[in-house]
Amino acid sequence: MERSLNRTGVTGVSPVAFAAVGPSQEGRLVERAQVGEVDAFGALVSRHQQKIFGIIYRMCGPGEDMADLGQEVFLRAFQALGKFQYRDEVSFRTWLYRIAVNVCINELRRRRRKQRIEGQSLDQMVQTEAGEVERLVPDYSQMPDEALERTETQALVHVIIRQLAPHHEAALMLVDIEGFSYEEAAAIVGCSLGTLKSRLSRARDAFKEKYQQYMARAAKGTTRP
Amino acid sequence: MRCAKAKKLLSLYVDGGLREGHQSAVQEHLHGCAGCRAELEGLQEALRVLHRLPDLKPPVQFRRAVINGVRQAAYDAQAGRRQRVPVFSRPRLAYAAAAVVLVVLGIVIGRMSTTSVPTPVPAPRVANAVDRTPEAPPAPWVTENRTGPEPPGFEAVPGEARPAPRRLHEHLVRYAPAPPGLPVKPAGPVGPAPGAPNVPAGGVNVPPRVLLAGAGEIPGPNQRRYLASGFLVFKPLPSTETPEMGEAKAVLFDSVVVGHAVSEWLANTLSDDATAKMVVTDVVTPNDLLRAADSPRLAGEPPGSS
Repeated sequence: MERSLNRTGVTGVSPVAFAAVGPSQEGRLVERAQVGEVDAFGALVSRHQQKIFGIIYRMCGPGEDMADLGQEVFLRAFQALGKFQYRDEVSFRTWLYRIAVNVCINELRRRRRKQRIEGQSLDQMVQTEAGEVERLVPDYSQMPDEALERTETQALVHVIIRQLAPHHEAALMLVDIEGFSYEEAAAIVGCSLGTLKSRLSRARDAFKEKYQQYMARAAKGTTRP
Repeated sequence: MRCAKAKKLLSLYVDGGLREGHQSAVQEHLHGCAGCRAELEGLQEALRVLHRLPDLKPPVQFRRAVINGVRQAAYDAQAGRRQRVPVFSRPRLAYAAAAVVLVVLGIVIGRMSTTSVPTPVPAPRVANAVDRTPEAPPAPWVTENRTGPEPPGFEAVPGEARPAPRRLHEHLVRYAPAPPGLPVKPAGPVGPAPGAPNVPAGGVNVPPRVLLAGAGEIPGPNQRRYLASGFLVFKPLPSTETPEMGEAKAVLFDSVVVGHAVSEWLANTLSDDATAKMVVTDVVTPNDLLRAADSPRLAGEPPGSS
């Protein structure tokens, strides 16, 4: 599916996802959720969960904690909804996605801290009595979302993205995958437009380098990203 | 323009985001520099790969877990209950507590089984699975599949006959009146089927409290085992616009549930049997729990040691 970049308008939001509830309806749902109507918030969850899932999946990767992260995003939103001032559909979306990106960045930092403390890397080999073996990682082959990565290229792209610095990863994911405009992406990650452009440029460079390295290795027959 | 400067501007150049002067300067540089043209082509190829990624659709488990967690938190907030801090934030403590409860529960259930004395049901208000006669057709809201394929993690061993039910279900599932203060569940598709034995005509308008206990494994890609034991008072979910919640209600009503948040579950249920905070991720049948409880692996072996 080829997508064109649109820097002037809001892009990257599936029209199908927004077909069920119109923009004016969303404002009413937010108002009802703010006074404690759980069903109204449930409808907001249903409406935005696909995009939130995409953000979590692309930034933090497949795993059993994806649902926990999704819960954390919506729980934070639910708890903070009382202070949110609804202006329009975009303001709510930006606010919600900002929570999601922050949750993901925190999770990535936590993982990297843990990895530093434990001194382990998935790429390291493990010494055993039988010699050096590859570290065993959870087998997600039975995960339903494995079907999401239908091609090797898609899987590779996600692996490379997740190797980027968290803020670079967020910029690349929001602009180049989810299709947000520079302005909206900057609002979501909470930085200036200039900072967003700078992060995006570095993220693209880093992604391009790693992708080309992989392709070069694939041509030689060694395909580990 | 030098190459270093041009390369720095390429990202904005491909988006057409440079000021006119810069845009034309980069273009002019590209005409005369093969190295920068190669950089541009590499960047454009990388962007093509990124743009081709499909939109992702969340799996059902994700939606269910998210919605159930949000709903539970909303309930907690609405009921004005203080948010509990999980006592068993460390897995070892949670497993140790679970093991203790499992042993106690095993003794209690063992005595019940040997004496064949029916357990007193506290003020039954609705029919449950035990009350249904074998001839009674399953209620339409019961989604538990007793004869269908096993969920992942509970695959039948070839040649192994499924153990006959020891009617442990009788000891596990009890319904009682709603505790005061809980919202009343409207009669609807979730709940005992109208016309089932001991169900008043017109349905039941009280939320069922289900006492659950068991031990088992979390079906899933990592096959995580839990010593999930204790009693859970299940608070039914109210009617909702979201179909996933309705499904969850129907399954929960007649099933034993093991969730990922077992430590939180125990932390809440052991100290207070009126409420329980849990995250539902998978549902297993009572027979699954029987098989898991029979497994010697669960008799004190620390989780994850296999």
